[in-house]
Amino acid sequence: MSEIDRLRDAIVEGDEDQAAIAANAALEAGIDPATLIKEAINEPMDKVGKAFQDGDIFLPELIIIGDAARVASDVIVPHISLEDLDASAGGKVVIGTIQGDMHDIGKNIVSAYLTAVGFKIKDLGTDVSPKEFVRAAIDEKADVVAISTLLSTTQPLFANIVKTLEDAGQRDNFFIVVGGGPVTPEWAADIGADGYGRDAGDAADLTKQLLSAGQKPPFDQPLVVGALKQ
Amino acid sequence: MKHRGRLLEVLRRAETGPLIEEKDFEGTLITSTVNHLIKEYGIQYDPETLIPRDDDMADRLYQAGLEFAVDVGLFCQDTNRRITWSRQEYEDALRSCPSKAVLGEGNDAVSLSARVPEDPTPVVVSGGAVGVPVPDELFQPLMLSYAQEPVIDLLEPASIQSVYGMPIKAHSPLEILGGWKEAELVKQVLDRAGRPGMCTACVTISATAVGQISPASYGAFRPSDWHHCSVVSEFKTNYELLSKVAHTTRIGGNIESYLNVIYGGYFGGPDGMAIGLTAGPIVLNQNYMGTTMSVSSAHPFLHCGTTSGQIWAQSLAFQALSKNTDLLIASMNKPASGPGTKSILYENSALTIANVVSGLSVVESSMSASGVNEKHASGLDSKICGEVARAAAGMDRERANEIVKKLAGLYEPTLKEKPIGKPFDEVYDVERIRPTPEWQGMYDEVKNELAHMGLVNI
Repeated sequence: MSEIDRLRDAIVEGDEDQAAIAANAALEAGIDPATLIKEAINEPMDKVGKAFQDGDIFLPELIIIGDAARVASDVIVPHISLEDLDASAGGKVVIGTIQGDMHDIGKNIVSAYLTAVGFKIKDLGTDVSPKEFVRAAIDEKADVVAISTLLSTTQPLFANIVKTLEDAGQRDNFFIVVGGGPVTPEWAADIGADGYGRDAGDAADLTKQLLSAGQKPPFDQPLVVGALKQ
Repeated sequence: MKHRGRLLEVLRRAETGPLIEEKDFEGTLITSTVNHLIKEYGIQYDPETLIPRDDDMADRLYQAGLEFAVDVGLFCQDTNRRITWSRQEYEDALRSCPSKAVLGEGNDAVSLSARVPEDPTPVVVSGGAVGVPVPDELFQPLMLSYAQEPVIDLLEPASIQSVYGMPIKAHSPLEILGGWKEAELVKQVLDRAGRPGMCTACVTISATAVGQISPASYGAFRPSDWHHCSVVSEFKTNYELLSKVAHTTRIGGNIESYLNVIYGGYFGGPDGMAIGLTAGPIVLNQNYMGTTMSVSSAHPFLHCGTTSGQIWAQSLAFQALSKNTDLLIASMNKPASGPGTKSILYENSALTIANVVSGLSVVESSMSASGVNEKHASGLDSKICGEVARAAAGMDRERANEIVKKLAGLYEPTLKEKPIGKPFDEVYDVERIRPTPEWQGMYDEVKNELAHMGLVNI
């Protein structure tokens, strides 16, 4: 079995200790770190994400596998050149449920899914004020701010995040993506968000597309993933 | 109600129960307990069967659900503590739960009672646009499309989006005004439908306790209405939610306690979900002291409760509960499809048949088009549930399983397309409150199909 296969297996089995050992062994064997990230982490994690969407694995397994991938990534990333790092990094996402809403399982699923497919996540939890979102985005040097809610009455606060970033002259530093039960593509456009996704799979596709678009935020119209059939 | 004497003890235990971090409660305690109980009690999903007939497995599932309730309890987000109870305390509470209830007032009141699998006793059917955002001008026509149907016993209001022209914002006074507006509009709907005493669910727009409590006062919603008190997935509460319970207890109101289990979430697949759906009403009865205990499941990608695995889990859980307790069990139909599609009629029929023959007491219908798409709901979405519920009462599980499998075969392949259909004003004449000929024709066709499948007397 190759070192890449050994690392891939450790991750897919959700074994953090073995993932760290296998990542170090692969580096010592002289395998290119960028290749390791691509072949031993990113490619299998895309398959893991698909398995979750298809109902072949469930949230607890997704979290465990995502944690193992994060451990391996933490070992490998310091050895990657800055150029290769840009090419292989998933980006950093600050995520939370907006102020006034204590529902979190939808957001947790998105968070676990994004972790599993290679993004760095700062999960702010539930009942997060617009100011806390903005502060975390700046402090964490995030690429994306992801806002969720299950309640229509908390949606107006989404616009406060966009406005606060604009007032602080920071709007062009962060992609803003929105989702959750009552959130619609039209609402995303109304508040000036950059993207809308209906579920965790959409959120991953959306974030990848935004970060690879070669265009700085804000977008004139939000990128919408997860169209509905009328 | 006599079983609500526990309220102060619930609140005391929320302050004194075992400490745990929220992520450990869900990610470790729930997950490990469920995995252990699946093995210990031999709970096994059979993809070939949607309505199981294994009474022994139903009884084992009840024991697994009770054990889950003892080992896990309910997490309080404000105190980071688990509200826990002994097995004896749960069993004592189940012995004193209401097995009958009356919802609504006067000639429009409806009685409901605990049922068992294959019970011929009719169920109560709620109709409404649960969660569906609706502009002010369509709220009353939409609600009338439900209230005018005799097969619908209770009304579930849609979510109004604004009040006096201002969008309703959580934690603002507009939430209170919105609740009162909802009560005012619903009362006019009931009067116009000639059913002034009809029970209505309330309050549908409230994020905060005060937003619900204020219009649950004299002059707005009545104690005889159905006051929604939910639990946050999975098995979590907080002081906002417990305040709703406290107020409804104090006014002697009917509590619709509610809990949702996420497919593929911390409970895993159908086997684990069945444990969550069984433990849910036991925990709701203990901590929320509901009049009715409502549980259902949600799919995180298909946004519905109608996949084969979800129907199996619900059916087995309701059999487990109805065989072993007198709880008044309710469940919300959550079709992915919306008005103007045949698939919503198939989805709602399948879930209704499965739930009715499994011993449920209240069919709640429906969260059409996942309950989040503006104006995507209509009276026929619920009327089908009322007609199917009457026809399915007393049916044996084997025959019901055959029909539900046929229905699932018709709609499951379409779920990924998210067929949300058309908005209310495109499937109804909103002046006369009548379905368009196209939508009525589709409805009649599906009724014929159901009769041919073996649902006699529909």
